[in-house]
Amino acid sequence: MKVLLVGSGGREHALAKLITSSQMSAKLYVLSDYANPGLMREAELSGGKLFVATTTFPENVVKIAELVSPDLVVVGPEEPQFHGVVDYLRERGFYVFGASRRCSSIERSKVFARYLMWKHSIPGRLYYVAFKSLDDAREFVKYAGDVVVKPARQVGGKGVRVIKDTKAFLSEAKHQVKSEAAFKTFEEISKYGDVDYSVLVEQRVDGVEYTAQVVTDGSYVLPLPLVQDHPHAYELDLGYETGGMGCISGPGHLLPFIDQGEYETTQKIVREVLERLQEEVKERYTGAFAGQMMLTGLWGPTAIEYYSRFGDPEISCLLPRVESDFLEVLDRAARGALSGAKVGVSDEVVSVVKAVAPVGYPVSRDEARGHPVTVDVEKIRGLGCEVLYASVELGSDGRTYTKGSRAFEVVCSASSYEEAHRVSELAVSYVTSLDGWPLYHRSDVGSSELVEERIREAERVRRVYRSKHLRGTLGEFFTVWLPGRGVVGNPLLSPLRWEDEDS
Amino acid sequence: MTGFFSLLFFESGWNVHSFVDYGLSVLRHRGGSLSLICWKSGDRVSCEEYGNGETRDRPRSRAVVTALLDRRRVDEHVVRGDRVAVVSDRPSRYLGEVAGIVEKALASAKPHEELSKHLRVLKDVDVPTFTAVSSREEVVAWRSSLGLTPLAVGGYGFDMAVTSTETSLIEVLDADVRRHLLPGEGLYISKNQVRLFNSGSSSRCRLCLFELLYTARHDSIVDGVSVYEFRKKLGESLGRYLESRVDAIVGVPETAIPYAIGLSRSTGVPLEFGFVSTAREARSMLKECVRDRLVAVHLKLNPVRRVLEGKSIAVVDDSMVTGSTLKTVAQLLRYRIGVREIHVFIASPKLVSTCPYGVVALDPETLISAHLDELSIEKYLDVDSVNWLRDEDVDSVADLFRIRLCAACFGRDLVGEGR
Ligand SMILES: Nc1ncnc2c1ncn2[C@@H]1O[C@H](COP(=O)(O)OP(=O)(O)O)[C@@H](O)[C@H]1O
Ligand SMILES: [Mg+2]
Repeated sequence: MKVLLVGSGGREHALAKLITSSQMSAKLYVLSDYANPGLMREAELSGGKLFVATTTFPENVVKIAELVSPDLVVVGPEEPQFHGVVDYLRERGFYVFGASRRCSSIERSKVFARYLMWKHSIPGRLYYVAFKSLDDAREFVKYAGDVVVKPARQVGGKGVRVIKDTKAFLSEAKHQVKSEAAFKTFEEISKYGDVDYSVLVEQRVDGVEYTAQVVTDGSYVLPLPLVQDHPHAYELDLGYETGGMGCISGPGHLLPFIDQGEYETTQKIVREVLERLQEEVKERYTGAFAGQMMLTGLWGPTAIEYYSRFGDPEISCLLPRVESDFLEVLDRAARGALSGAKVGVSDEVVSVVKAVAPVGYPVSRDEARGHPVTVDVEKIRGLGCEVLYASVELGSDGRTYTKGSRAFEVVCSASSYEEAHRVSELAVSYVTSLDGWPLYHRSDVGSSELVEERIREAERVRRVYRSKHLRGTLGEFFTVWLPGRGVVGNPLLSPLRWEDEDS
Repeated sequence: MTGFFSLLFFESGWNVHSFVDYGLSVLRHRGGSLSLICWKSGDRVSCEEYGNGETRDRPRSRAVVTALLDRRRVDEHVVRGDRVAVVSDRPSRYLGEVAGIVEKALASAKPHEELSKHLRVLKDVDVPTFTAVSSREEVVAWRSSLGLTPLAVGGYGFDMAVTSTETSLIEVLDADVRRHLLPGEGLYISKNQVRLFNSGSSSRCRLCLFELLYTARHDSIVDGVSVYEFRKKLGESLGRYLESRVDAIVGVPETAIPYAIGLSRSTGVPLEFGFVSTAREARSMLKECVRDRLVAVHLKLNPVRRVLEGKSIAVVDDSMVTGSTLKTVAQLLRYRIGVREIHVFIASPKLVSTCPYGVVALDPETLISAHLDELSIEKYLDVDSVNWLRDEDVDSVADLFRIRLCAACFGRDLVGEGR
């Protein structure tokens, strides 16, 4: 069977491994934006080949597809979906695993995702306001309270500002930051021409994050085990937002801090969003879909955003845990024959994935780019781990160079987090730079200490949402009672108001 | 006694002043009369007294270190070079050496590894907990390998990292406590990297009993121990020394309240609200001169009359240093209110020695328990009995919370043992 995989990074490397380990003896072809040495090796080992071309140009992808004439095309990342690559391929008769352009708007437009949840009263929805003009956004921010300011479009894991604002004595400083964040977001979004709205201001929540990925052919929904990603760049959940610095998964389909009931509620939300989305865009959804969730006191399972693809690095976490033929699942989904399919997962095994990034990621990518790096794959395998190549490129001198984002992922598994964490820490030490440029990773990801902390945090929010559930106030948050004006029921608003600095 | 905190803003656009202001007011109860701020100024680091107009007009800096220090000993707390400023939470003669280590480490490609290596060499030397800021807007925070004083780390969204002597500061600044650092553990923070490092803890590491007993705020968590709960437990232990019949318990404001709650709980004697405080500022004991101390004591003690009149009262305090606070309280109760009996309960053993580590500035000459016997103290205070906790009471509460405490000033130098 011939498979063409579109995409360039760590997620695609994980998919490549899942595809080539299939019983269906797949010959893997890859179309990437750059020559990722990991993907290149997987393709060549399977008898296939890696092509380099811009993956967001549908014509490029179709040209390669026509050359290869694959039995299945798997489109990994969201940007090609946003650019209509999947539609273009399907129109030409290819079987594609991946969301169409219209279906992927659930990820592309965070406003659409929120709107859909409100329109159908889907639980786990957050209050939001979206803005097309900067002036409107800035005017609103004068009144805004405890909010998150984010790009209204998916921009690849950056630009979100969580401006917790629960202390009036610090509010003025925060007001200025919100206003500036709105401005920056506006600038960033104006580079894209494919969304109406620029700035999304939404209710801030806190709790424990996790991702619920599924595979669907539009009618049958096959859930995969939950995964927890770590969005902060640095140790102890400090610092910038990133695309994800590592993740953990297991045991079973749950995480140590998510219970069966919460799992089921999450699946219900995901299924309902999928259903409503297909109604709304009037197209069948074929491919991977995911709810990026947070367990909050407000709702219990709460939707932060949705992916119209597998999470990166979330899918890597499943690599050592999937026992059945994953290619068969992808293929059946693409053919609309997923019904009754199962993904066998080793229940007792937990996994820990760590991203290794050059210093400079995520905010000084120019500094982070262009450093020769090497991995001792054999040593890593000797530990029972795998290494995935992400934002790295084959140089003309045959060496591997960083491209500025997360360079590698090490993937480890064991029967306990303690052990998986221990080996993952050894494994990352086999990723080194050749020019002395420092690399970093998060040593706390997967540690028992952090897992315990998440359990405590989950227990805190669990008490809150259960109590709200009993009192019938799930999802509701009353900001303040202003005598004469009543209860301000919009949690986005602050009782304080800030004028422009210059007025 | 002092405290410090550091802030590093990853994102731009933050005005640090309100954070510094409110951070300082959280630490104010720890004593210290000098508010110091160290930050980048031009291409150097500068340290200056905070609060005057000039410091406020300063251009924004991504990284700041702020401390409340004993003005008289500031030279032993702060070392400022061109490229780094180091501030410690107790006086130390090793600070110069520390500043050299930090400066070299920050110039290297892997600061955390260098810091870990060089601080490890000093593992068994009494280097204090410190924080440093560099002219390149980096922060280092490291906890003494002996432990003694606490150090916690917090985060605010994707925007800011904070390290602080007390967890309550992190919460007041609307950030979330991530965890406390272990003895010998440190954190390097810059825009481009945050690295934990560990230079090893001393086998003698302990936590200062005084931190839990008096210095920290009730709402702080120290090494996983809730300060309030610890105090309440000590108060409960006081119950076994209650021999006479008393009608009511009062605590000396405001540090003694949890102890009084504990004593009331273990004895069933009602707790009364005994005094209303007029001062809101620093704790009296931590004032640097006698006059200030007395002023503070007198301001915090206006008695609530009727509930206490004619009764036999148990007065609870956390510790007895010079005895002057308790003397004032006893006089108020006896002469102004007209209580029948006064029984003093101290939720710690007798303070008999100065702190060999400089954590608490105690003048051995003024420690009443070191100079007078119990009977003389009773007479001086003009009370009917004085009761202290014993070492074993403190030990069993420490065991309950699974912590190892230094009680050197109570006559048991457990850190220095075997030196
Ligand atoms: N409403 C919110 N309340 C609290 N935190 C949020 C909220 N929205 C986003 N975040 C935080 O910001 C991160 C990124 O936000 P997300 O919407 O997933 O954007 P991105 O597309 O950049 O991943 C989340 O993983 C979460 O940690
Ligand atoms: Mg996200």
